[in-house]
Amino acid sequence: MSTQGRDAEFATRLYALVREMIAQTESPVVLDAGVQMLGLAKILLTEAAPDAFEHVRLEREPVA
Amino acid sequence: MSRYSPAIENLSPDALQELQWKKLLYHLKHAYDTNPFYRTRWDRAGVTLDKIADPKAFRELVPLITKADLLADQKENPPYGTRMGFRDQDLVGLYWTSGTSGIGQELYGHTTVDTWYYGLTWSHGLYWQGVRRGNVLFNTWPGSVGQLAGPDSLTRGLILLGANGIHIGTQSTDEKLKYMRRFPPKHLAVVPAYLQRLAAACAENGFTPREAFPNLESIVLATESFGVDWAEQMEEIWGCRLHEMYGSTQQGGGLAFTCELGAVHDHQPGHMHVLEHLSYVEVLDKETREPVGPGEEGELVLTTLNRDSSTLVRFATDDKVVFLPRGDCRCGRPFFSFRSGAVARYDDMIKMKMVNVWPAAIDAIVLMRPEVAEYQGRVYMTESGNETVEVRVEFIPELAHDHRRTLERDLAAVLRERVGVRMDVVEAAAPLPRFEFKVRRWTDERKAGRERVLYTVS
Repeated sequence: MSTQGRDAEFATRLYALVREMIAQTESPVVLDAGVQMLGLAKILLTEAAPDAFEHVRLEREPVA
Repeated sequence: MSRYSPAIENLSPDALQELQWKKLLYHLKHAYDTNPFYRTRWDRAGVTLDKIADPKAFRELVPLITKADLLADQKENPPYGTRMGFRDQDLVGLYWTSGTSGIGQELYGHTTVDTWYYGLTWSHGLYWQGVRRGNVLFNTWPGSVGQLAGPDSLTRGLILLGANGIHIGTQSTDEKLKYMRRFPPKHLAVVPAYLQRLAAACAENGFTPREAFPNLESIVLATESFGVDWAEQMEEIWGCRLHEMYGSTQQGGGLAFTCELGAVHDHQPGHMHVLEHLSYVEVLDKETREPVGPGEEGELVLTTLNRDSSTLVRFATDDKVVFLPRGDCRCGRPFFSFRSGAVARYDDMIKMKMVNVWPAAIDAIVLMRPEVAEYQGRVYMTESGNETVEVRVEFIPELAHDHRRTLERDLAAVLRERVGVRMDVVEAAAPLPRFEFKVRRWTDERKAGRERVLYTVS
């Protein structure tokens, strides 16, 4: 797999992991830090997996 | 040339445009479904998104929006208007525009994701311009975190890049120099007028910029136009490469940046590459609303593709840029560009004696002279009702008295020849204001003058 392909795969998995963590946590601090990570995960997808924009843009961020 | 984002920067121009087009179509549907500002306007205009098959259709079917539209929406639906696109509780901050147009300040809300996106826009350009993890960059713009998008998004870009940003916009000039000598910078963010002021302040303090800041590798400029000669002179004085960026509150940070080649090279203006994967940008003739050709100037029309909140679709910015096509820069990146040093405002234009004049044209003549520290201009009516243009010049202190009169005559002659307007060039009676951010050197006093003349003769 190319470097770019690997970046895209990691970015996609990370985004899904962060979304899952946010959806399941009951801890306010985990939620806060998670939402920040979601922002970073989205820009990772923008730059590393640019074709993966559709499911990203359907998001609304959770409210603590 | 090292790529900051290889997955994007190594795309062919065709592949980039294909990605951008897919993002645009998705973004339009998303805006319609979630943003009442756009849904209302597009329903009223009869926009059918399915019919947008190509850029021409996009241009013809989707109406432009202007600053006045956004301000009206804010006024009718306080406090934010209807176009945030998110619930109030999702907003983690606000930017508002600097207000130099004089008609009001647009509001832009942002979500948590947006705050990272703002930094992302800057991190591209900063990296291209040589900023790396741990580098010291002095930011001289006023305010580092807060309501002005420029300095705040720069801060976020530096954080994302891991650079050491030192924000001294609120300090006096002498304090700025003191901190810069204490923490030697590799990079500087500054507006052109203030870069010149800093150089003068170095001289007042008995040293040259080159001596005082030997580690300096780049200076990034924004908000004012400048000529090639001026840029080369500044590079010589400061001993490093000049760069330029174009950004806006509407974009949420940076939109276009010069690459490694800089703002000027080979005695030519450089290229500010547009981050086309983050925004869809049109450069349109102001009258015909058709795309301009290579090397032609036009109005920048902005559609943001990555903003979550306060997204814009076909916002007519009133910014005048010179379009340079993809492949025009030898760096090989797939983006189209704006000519460096050439960004101006359409609403800066002043009609002087029936001639359309942009202050940038006068800046390029007057500020090029090393004997000139600053200037101000005004257009007014004399008591006898004659329209008169006056340029008041502050000379550098060491300039000999008789040389000042010669220079005044020289400048008047050059202005007459190149701008096409007769101007009175006189020495300012007192030191003139300096600008640390947005520059406003010109006033138009004709309306008050006309009223005074009418009152006198009636």
